[in-house]
Amino acid sequence: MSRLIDRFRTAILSGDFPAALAVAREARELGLPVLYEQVAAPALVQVGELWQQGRISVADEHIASALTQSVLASFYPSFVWAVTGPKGIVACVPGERHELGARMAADLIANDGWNLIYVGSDVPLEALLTRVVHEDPVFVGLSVGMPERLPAVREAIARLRVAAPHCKLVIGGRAVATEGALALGADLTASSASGAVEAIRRWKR
Amino acid sequence: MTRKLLEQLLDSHVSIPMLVVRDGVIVSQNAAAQALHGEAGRPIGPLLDARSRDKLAHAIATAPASCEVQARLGGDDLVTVRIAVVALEAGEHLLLVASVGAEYSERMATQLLAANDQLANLTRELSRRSAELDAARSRFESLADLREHFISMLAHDVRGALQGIVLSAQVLEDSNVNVSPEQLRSAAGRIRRSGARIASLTDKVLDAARSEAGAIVLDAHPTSLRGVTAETVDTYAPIAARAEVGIEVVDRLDNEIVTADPVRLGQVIGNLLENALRYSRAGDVVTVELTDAPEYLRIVVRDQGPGIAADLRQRVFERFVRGAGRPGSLGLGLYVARQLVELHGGHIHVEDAVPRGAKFVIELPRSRGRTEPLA
Repeated sequence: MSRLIDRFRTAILSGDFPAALAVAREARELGLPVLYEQVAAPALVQVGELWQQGRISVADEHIASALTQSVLASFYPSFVWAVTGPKGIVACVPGERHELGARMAADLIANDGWNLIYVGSDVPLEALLTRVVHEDPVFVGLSVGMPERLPAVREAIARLRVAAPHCKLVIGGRAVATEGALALGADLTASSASGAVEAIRRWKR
Repeated sequence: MTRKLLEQLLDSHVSIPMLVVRDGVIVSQNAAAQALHGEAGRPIGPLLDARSRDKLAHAIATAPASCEVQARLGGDDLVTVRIAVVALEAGEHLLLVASVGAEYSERMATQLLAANDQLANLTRELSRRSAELDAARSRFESLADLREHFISMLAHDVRGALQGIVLSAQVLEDSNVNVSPEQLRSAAGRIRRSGARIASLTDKVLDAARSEAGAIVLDAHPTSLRGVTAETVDTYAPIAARAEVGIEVVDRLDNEIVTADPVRLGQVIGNLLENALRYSRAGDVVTVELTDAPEYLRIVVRDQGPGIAADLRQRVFERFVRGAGRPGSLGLGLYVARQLVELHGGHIHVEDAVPRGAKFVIELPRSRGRTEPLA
């Protein structure tokens, strides 16, 4: 697997879309979780480390991340969407900008048989509430990468509890790793995307 | 500005490139401008991208003005710069060139990255919606088949009931004056039951149509769930007795008051009981269990029948969908039940009962009944 990671990282750092797509296709053959969690995510972590060490510029990091987005998005048309499956919604908290992780989690949950709607980042809370009331999902997952967005998570959870009292609430993302779900008012904290897939399976109905 | 002042300005070691232009030709400039493009005495046009020439000409014509242009400065690559134009004497103009550099690129990069995110999101949503549309189209096609089947079944049921009425009337007519009180009661009973059957069928069809059109308005007020359940079970007791099926109520209610329309709530429980009885065999027991929490009340109707296949669990609440192999149902009861539960702000779902059978679970908010029709 480390060879795939190396090849993917090299491709995204050199802005080589065809090469990155070719590696991603190989990994996709082994399953979506392999592509997402064992190739793309570790490669992006390594890119982040290279930036920390001052070996690449922030522009290189941005290009690598954008290229990864595009490569992963190119698989959507061939996704098998479980549109008759139980419904879930994944969103980033208002103001959150790191959304690749949230969408990867959303895709892995969709891959597990959920009709998973991803509403993206920078969604105003009112718009999210309206969507949740309209779609009536079994659960809403909120992703938060930056600790300063935690008060926004608390507010979102409180408002969701009123608007959709039957809806289960999950929080995930780097910023909640140290916070208990209950402290924030959620039903569950997901430490990883595959952890979330496992944990919410019992809510399928 | 005097000529002297202008010369002083151009001689000062300001890092902002400054050029003086007359009739499209650079007549003088400062060192910063010279470092960018070379000696004065050349036309300014070739330094600019074709479309930018018009922009600059317009700014010169309307000076003082400024414009953003694409320029070739010290190479073939176009760079974006902002030029401020000040009118001097004798048809001359002073051009101050400002780089839009780092901040501009950063803003562009942020916007492009955000657009890239949005594009990925859109691709995802388009692909998912397209799958939803495909599923809806195939549901629509099978709905058309189901509707046809439903009409023939409804006609068959109504015809059966009408035949019962016609035959009973014929018995009365033929027997003339010699009809015994026993025969009279029996014929009247058949007519009443057949009439009630037709009324019940038409009620279901009308309710389904009304709820679909959002025309059902709840008369919701504090209601005793225990009372409504007892009345409904009482109504269905004779049907259960005929089928030799028991109905057991397990009452674990702490606070039995719910804001609901009692008639519609009774209809929901009745539809679930009717469904449970249809799939029960002689000797089975149908259980109605009532529990509550501060925020909501739960009604569970459990039977000991064959259960509902996993792939049918979502669909049993759709119109005209019936479990396999059981005639005598229009496939509307569960559909109407779900519509009414949702109108009360609640949820209904079905799961497997243990050890066998189907378990329908309704959760009603204690005080969130909506009184307006569903949109």
